[in-house]
Amino acid sequence: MSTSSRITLNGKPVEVEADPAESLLRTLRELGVTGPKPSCEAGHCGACTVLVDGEPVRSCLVPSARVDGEVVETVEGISAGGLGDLQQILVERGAFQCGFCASGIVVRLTALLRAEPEPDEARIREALGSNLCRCTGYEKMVAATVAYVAGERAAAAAGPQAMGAAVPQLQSIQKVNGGQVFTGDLTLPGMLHAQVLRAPHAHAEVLEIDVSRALAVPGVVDVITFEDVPEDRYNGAFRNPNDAQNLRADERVLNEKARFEGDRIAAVAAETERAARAAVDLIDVRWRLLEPALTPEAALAEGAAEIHAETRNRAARPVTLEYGDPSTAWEAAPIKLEGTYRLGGQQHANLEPKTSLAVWSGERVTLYTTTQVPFHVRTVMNHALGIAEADARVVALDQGGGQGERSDPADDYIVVLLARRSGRPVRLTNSREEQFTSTRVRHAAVVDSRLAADEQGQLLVRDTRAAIATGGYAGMGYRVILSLGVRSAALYRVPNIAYEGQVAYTNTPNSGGMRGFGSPQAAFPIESQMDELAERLGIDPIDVRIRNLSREGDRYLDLDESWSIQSNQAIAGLRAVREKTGWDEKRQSLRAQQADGLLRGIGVAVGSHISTVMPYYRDHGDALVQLHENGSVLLTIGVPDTGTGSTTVFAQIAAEAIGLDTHHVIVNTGDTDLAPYDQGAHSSRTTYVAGGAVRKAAAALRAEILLEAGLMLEVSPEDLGIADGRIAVAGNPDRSVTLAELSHWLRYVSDHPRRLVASGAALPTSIAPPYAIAVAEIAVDTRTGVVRVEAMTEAIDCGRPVNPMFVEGQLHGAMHMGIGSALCEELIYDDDGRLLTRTFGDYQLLRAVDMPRIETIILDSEEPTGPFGAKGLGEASVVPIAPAIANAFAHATGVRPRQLPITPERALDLLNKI
Amino acid sequence: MALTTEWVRPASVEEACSLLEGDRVHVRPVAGCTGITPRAITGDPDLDVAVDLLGIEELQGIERSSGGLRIGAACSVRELALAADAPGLAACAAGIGDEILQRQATVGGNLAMRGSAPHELATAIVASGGSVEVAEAGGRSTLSADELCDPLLSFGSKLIVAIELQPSSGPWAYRRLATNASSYGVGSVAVHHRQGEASRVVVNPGSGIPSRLEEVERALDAGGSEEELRAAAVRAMAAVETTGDALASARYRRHALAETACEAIEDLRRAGR
Repeated sequence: MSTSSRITLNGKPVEVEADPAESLLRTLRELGVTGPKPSCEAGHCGACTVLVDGEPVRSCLVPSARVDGEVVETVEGISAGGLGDLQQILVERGAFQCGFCASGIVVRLTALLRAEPEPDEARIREALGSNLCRCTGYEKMVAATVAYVAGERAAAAAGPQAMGAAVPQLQSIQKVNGGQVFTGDLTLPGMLHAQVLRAPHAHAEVLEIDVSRALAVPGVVDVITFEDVPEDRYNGAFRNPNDAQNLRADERVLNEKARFEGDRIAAVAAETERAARAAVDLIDVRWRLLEPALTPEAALAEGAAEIHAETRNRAARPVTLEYGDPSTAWEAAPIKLEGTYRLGGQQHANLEPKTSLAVWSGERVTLYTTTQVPFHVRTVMNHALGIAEADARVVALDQGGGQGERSDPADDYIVVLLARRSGRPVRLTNSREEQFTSTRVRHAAVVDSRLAADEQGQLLVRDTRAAIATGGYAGMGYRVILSLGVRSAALYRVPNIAYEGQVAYTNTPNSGGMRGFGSPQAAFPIESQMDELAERLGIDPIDVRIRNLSREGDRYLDLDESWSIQSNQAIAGLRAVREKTGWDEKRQSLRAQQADGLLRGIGVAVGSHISTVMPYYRDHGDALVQLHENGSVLLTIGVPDTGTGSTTVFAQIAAEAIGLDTHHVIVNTGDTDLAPYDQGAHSSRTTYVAGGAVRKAAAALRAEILLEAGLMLEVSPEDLGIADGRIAVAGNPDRSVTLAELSHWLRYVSDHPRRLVASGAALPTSIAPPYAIAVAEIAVDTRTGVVRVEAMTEAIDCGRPVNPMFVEGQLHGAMHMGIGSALCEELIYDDDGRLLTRTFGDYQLLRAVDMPRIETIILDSEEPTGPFGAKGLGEASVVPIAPAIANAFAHATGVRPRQLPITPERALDLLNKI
Repeated sequence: MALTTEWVRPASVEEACSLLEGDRVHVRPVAGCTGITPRAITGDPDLDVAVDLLGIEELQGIERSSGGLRIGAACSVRELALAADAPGLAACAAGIGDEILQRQATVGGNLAMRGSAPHELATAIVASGGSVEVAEAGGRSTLSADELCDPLLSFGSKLIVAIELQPSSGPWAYRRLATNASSYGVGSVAVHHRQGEASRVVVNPGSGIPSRLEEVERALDAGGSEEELRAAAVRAMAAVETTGDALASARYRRHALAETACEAIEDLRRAGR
């Protein structure tokens, strides 16, 4: 029964009606206090941390019955009088990226500093051990707190800031005061709650399904199964008209067969989440179990049970590449290396669970969803449900992390359908377990790699055979296997290339885009074998890479010269990390420091990726800029901000192009009704492609502004300039107007009233590969096999950095994900295909205390084709981290890992200790 | 499943026992609630009646007397972690979760929730040689520490009332084995030598159900060499029922916890044994 209690919530008495066993988190959110975030709801992540009688608690673990008479303080209460000094310095130092974890962390740090005003860094890290963050590697929040304790305070920016400035994210204040709105924070009047029946088996046919008991649950409005959705199949990765040539259309909104544990079979809409959940549990299904295939090898083996009929579990046609004469060159080569490398599946582990909320108005639907690709979600909706693009509006708010997870629609269309049938808004939010079983993961891969070189260490042949696990549906498998092949071949100068890639259906969670998109699977074999080559020849690993790396002006594989590499500072990066880490000395000394069962080593790796999917797929972006009535510039663009700071990056580019301070640019993102078409936040294209569109649009608006200001001031536009929002006659600064005055003049005075609007489109003319170079210093405990990364240094060639603070933040987050993939993050299944790593309690994420000493280097670079010289970086930065750790392991122990992650057990196996 | 929960607050252990007695379905005791997620949508569908133990006076805090320590089942793990006069249990408690969870989790809850690595207070209790007082509708009884090693032990409708410890004497060592991500524990070893008694070497093999490594205890008390102890540990761990899970295989646990036991014994020797 519901009970009544009184609490003091953020300083005000509040009467609470709630099920006594309901969590305080959900009760607070029912009261409209949405700063505390539901992320795991099992006490692992800390995103819901609040203070109860001054003590931090995870509100997801506190029954509402326990807070009667208590004083509850959330991030909103902490911020009630404006941002405190701690919050301000967290903002200034770029402590947060997506911000989904921020409310909990602000509360945690506040509690710490109230109790212990002068904690040292170790204590801060220990306290932050209560909270998970996927974006930042914790580095900047720790540094900001250390600075705060030392008495430093945030300072006002000196002068206008645009390109190259460390501008905090424009939404930073909302990130630290609980005001940032995520999709899961939205509610609409009359809204229903959806829950999905996920398959409990990895591979099984539905023989019979009965929803009658579910429909009888009080509050249930609708139950749908695969029998109620269109039979037409689609692929969630469709973007372009010709995609069906390569991407199999094999999924439905609800499926008639379980192809992985978590496959969507049926769905319920009900008045409450609890009723919906109860109803889902009462859907009766009779299953026929089938043999699951959990790895690419098992799925592609002769006789394996077919996951999709008549496919032999091939989810795409094989990708083959061949340049030169690899067979002949291999036979003649003096040095040959061969190995099979395995990489496990990895979860994005974004803190924000996926939420979809659909509402119909007449024949049009608006879908609010956590997506990186709103236009793409709209396109696929047409394939999945036959809803014309003109009849759909997709809105992506700020995302609580992206990392590639939100690159396809996943369950979006279930709520679209339920909302249409019920005539009411419907919302679906994943539980953390559903995030693990039913969103997207990195493709597990097995790669047979052969490398041949001459006796001077010059590469002669790369021959790669790869197979990846795409999960139950083809999704982006073809694109990933192509990316893996191209990235395998393009980093180094190799005259003879052979590649064959297979995409296997497997009874594992759907794979999809994930930071790096094929590059991590390519880099582990390559970078391992580069080290092996160096060892074989007695050459330093850095030197053998310098000898072979591609350079500026090189062609990108067989693409014509117009796609040649125009910026490449990888060699400079290797030299920079060599100096920064004391590589030459440590390479000799670390192996001598063996004590207490610990072996130490240092390793290096290089990684690269792309800044656009061109020329392999069509990729373009558009931006729209307007002079706002108040003199600001209003930028509208389709790319949502996944937490990287892209909104701010766009503002900085626009500000630079026009001559403004960044804060004079208002940015609207991610709304397909308002923004011109853009492909979204993926493939490290945001800065390079979408930013390129912003630059063009802003430059066009600047020209319009100068034209009109010339009329207003009766001078030639060529004689005018813009600085800090003021348009002035060159050499005569007294003759000037502000943008606001110009706007006013246009509206009320001029004889041609108009709003100044300009658009810009970018169609990439280069791949603009970013380059990342990492050095890892590790310790291996030979007794337990535990591996710790003690220091990590990474250099990045991202062209000219738009915002160096964001660049550093991207590298820190990449290290978190990269170290995880090297040492502990892995999706593990039982023999029946049931996922064992389905919570943050068993999928191992690094906490603040686990992160090593970190150094970052931003290389001096300029990409001629990028906006103000910029190119991408987010994905490239993760690529070399795991290989560098593997190479450090080999340096420390003399044994080479060929499987990631290097778990303690695998480490002991390699050392023949177990 | 009911769609709302009845929340009852008994005033005494006996009242709680009577509420939990009988064939009422979906009636469960709740205390710290770190192991039973509140009834969020993703939470516990089997909780219709919650019997809240936190308000029972008898279960609170740590009582100290010349006879030793009596640690109430509702004592927080944090309070125990800060108890200098229970060094072994304190070290073990300090490794459970983080300090926020420790403030919320209870000693009784940790002991009752057998079945996974974080529920490891039993390991230190066995090493201490203490005892556990339990209650049920029919009365009260005491479990010896070694009874906690019984894999078939289930508290069922019994409520844990308190842990009884003799006054601390002699060196302790406690080691927790984690994966490459330090917050994920896969097992632990507690070693204690009470003056005038035989040493106790106890392992949590990841199940939360402790096992004494008796061969290692004998080797330790016999002054065995490092090699002898290691060999004994390997043999003893081979006999421990160990299962694999997402964090570690049984094979790994057997090997690494044998090593961990050796490290703990080194610690113990440095501490005066």
